Amino acid sequence: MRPAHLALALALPLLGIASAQSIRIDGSSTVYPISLAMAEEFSIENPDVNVSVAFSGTGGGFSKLCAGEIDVADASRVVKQGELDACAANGIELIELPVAADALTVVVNSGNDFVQCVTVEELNAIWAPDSTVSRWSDVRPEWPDEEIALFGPGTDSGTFEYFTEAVNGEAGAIRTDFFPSEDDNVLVQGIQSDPFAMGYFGFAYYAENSGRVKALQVDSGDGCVEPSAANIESNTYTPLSRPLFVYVSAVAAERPEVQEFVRFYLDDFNRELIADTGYATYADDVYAATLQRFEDRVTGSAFLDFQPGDSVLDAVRGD
Amino acid sequence: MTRAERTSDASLRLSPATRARERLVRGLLLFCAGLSVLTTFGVIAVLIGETAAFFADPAVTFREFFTSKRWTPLFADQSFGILPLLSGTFLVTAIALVVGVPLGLVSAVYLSEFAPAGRRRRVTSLLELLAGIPTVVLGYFALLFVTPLLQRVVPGLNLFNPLSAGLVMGFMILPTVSSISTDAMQAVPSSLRQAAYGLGATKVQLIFRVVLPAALSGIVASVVLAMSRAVGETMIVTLAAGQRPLFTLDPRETIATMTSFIVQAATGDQPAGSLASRSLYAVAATLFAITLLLNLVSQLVVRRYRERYE
Amino acid sequence: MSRVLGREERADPARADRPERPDMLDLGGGQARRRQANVRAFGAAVFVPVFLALALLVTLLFDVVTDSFSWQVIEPRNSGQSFSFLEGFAAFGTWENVVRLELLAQGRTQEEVDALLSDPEARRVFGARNRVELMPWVDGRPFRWLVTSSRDDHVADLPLLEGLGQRRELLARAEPGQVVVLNAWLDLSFFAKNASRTPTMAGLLPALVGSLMLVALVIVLSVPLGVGTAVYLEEYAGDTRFARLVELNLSNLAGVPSVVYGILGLTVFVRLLGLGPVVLAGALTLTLLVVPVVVVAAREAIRAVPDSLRQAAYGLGATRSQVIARVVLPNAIAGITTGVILAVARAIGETAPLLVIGAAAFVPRPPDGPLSLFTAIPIQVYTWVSENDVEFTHVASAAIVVLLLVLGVLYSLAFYLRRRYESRW
Repeated sequence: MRPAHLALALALPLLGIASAQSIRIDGSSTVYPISLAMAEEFSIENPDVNVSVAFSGTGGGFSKLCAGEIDVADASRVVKQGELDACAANGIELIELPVAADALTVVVNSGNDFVQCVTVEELNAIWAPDSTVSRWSDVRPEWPDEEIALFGPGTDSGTFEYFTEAVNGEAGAIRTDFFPSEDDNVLVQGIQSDPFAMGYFGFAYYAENSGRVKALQVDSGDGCVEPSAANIESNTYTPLSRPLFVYVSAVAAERPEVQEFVRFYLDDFNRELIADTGYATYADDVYAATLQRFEDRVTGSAFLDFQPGDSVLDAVRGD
Repeated sequence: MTRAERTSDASLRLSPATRARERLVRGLLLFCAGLSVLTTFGVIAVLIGETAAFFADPAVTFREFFTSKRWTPLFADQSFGILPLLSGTFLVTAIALVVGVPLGLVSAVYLSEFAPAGRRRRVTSLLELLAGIPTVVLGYFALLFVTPLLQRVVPGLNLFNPLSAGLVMGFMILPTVSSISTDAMQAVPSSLRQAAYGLGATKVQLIFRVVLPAALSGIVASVVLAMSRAVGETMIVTLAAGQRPLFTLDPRETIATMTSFIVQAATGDQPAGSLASRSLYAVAATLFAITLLLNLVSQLVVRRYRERYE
Repeated sequence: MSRVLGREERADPARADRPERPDMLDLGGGQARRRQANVRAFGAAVFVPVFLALALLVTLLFDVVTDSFSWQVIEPRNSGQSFSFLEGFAAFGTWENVVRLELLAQGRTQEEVDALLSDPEARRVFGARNRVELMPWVDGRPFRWLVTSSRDDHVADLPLLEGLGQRRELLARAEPGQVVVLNAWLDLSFFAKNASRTPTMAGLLPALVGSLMLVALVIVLSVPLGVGTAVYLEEYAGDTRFARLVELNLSNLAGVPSVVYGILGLTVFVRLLGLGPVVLAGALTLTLLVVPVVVVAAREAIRAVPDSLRQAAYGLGATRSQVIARVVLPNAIAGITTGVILAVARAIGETAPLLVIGAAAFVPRPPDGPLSLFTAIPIQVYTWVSENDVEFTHVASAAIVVLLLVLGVLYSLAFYLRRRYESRW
């Protein structure tokens, strides 16, 4: 504990400042809306617990969790072994809780009638860091000889990290001449304005704006799969769908307010809060199994070797 | 010794307790004054320390930093060329100066040569109010009012663009240019003015041939100072100009400035100590160096050239 | 002297054809009149930038105020019934009265409603999920109470002026169950609500308290430091090297971009001292930013105190510190206060340093003390504008109106003090 913290902690009672119970959450900006909704509703029912939520990013969330600065980390990807080790070195074990399912939708202009389905290899060819593709016909000769206008989220978002990892094999690896924006609305406007545009963003946003752009089906080797809530939940829309996680430090899990909060998060009654944010939810038994995992304080990650097509329920149960 | 010192300590016989108290008071006040020195030292130490660590990393070279046109610290393929941020800053600043300097100068002419005393006070208060508008409000105005307006007139104008930001920023620096230039113009001795009138000059001739040249040092200083403020301005550009590093001089393109990158990096996700987060300090150090230089130049201009007309 | 001449000239009708201002020689009627016209035209032209600056201010105010209203089409979770102003208003307990009306409209019995309203916990939860609003216009009728919920579905949102012309169309096209309202986003409940993920329930309370706490701390820290430095420079230091170094530092610090102060604060207060992104760290950073302003104002005020007063005090046997404490400072207090007010106005509006420190997180409720996470009014404005949601823009506009009002009051106070005590000697 830092000396300043220690001194202040001792001085606090003297200053008579009551330290209310607090839960600190930080991490992925993708999971942020879910945690935010949960934090707000939980705070309403438990006014003496101060739940604060930030969105410094998945990586930032893990490093703060491992440093003991926060209690819960939001993550749009599975924790890495290196991060687990760093936490363990600080005496902090992590309890892994999948809470929702997200997908990335690849979209084109709604007037685009020449492409329905695209393979992962083709996506990679278009978006790779050293891509030489500049026209649709470079990818498939039967496509028009027009320039592809590319739109995508900026580097700060988990969506960016996820897309680049899934399509190009490495987080952050991407050609640099696309038009970036953190604002999905700007991306949609851009794609609407150019008949030969292509872009990607979260499924949640696409679901709300499905009238304005057209989503492509993705073929990862087993046929074309369209982005839909059902396909996301069953983990068949791959590689562009993924579970979203919340990681609780085992140390924090010993506190009653944190336990209440996790139970609140996974409660069936609050499922509609997740649906409100636009993400897909799993079946009730997944959440029941996840809650059991928390109550049993099972630490470590069950998703390190998670492959597309695997069952989330089995992973949580530890089968 | 100041007059006060001589008078106070010399002939009075002070008790040891009183003398001790006086010394204590003096010490405390000295400490207060010293804090400003400490602050500057702190700023420089922090910036230099982290920037040194930044350049010590093998992935970064001075050459790349100053000549490369790619600033991608957050991509997998990191590239640290600051030129896009500099060009973005320059673009917005240039537009702001083009708007703010003429308007500010003309306001100063009005205030010092035309306005009666009561109106002068009111207009000065108005300009002070303008200067007091929080920049986040100006950024809101640029993004939500100016940009949609301009998009109807300028083809190909992006939602985030340096043109709107620069226009609004021009009004932000107008008071700076105006107040310093007004002071400079009013400092022109009346003997010069009367001499001009005596020679048959009109008011307009007086202004262009006597007052403006006489006040030139102050005017130049005000412009340099306004430039420094424009370079260091953060919220207007963060909200309205964009956060996409791009080396361009087209004011319709979305760009990033040094300051908007600093905000993006500080509110973003890089863990402390990583190369990407250290790049924040390197950019801040560059920004600090530029504004410091501009401030020193402005002070130098005033000091060097003011005496000529005394 | 020219003024005097002017009056004489105007008084004498025989001199009517002479130019008004004697700063032009009478070179013969036509040429003089043309020159006069030129000067007047130039004088008018020179007023243009001032006019533009005024136009900008007026446009900004107008834009912000009109954007704090919007026409909305809502599918309410609650009953959707609105109540007339008189029906809902009660001298004490308007909130309870309207809630009662709403719950009855939802179909609950009197006993249920009484039970709910007498349970403080239930009231609190209801208040956290619903908002009692006095809407200027609901479904064609003016000034009615409506209870909105955080779970309402917002179908459409139109700006004030645009919707004004279209309101009958909106009414005609509204489906059953939908309510068309003119929503005034800035109302009393805006000050009592906490931050929220929904625009309906978003309020300024945490930001207000945060800003107040910051300002209080900044005043407590910056006044002694700023006045102390000014006193030292004016009363103690001669033309020593140290004094010149301090002055050089102050003038340079005044020109440092505020975002660099944020970086200093982040590195030293948040990370090095381990405070974290709390109120105290923000206040310390803002203090550093604001001290040069206080110093400049205090120095001017102290300099304005005539030396004769000081000498008189010394003559009576006072020590230096006594002279300063009992003679100089009391007489400089007006100027110092003006400087502090301007410094506070600056601190309230600063966003960049607080953003860099890390104040941008979602903070559900007001900070408890200097060691809490916090948010401030300009930070909320930034966050709400960045949401890129048209309804959050209205909330941001409401916050900006509050911010500008506060600043307006502060600046008026400062201007008044300055004028009142301008030339006392």
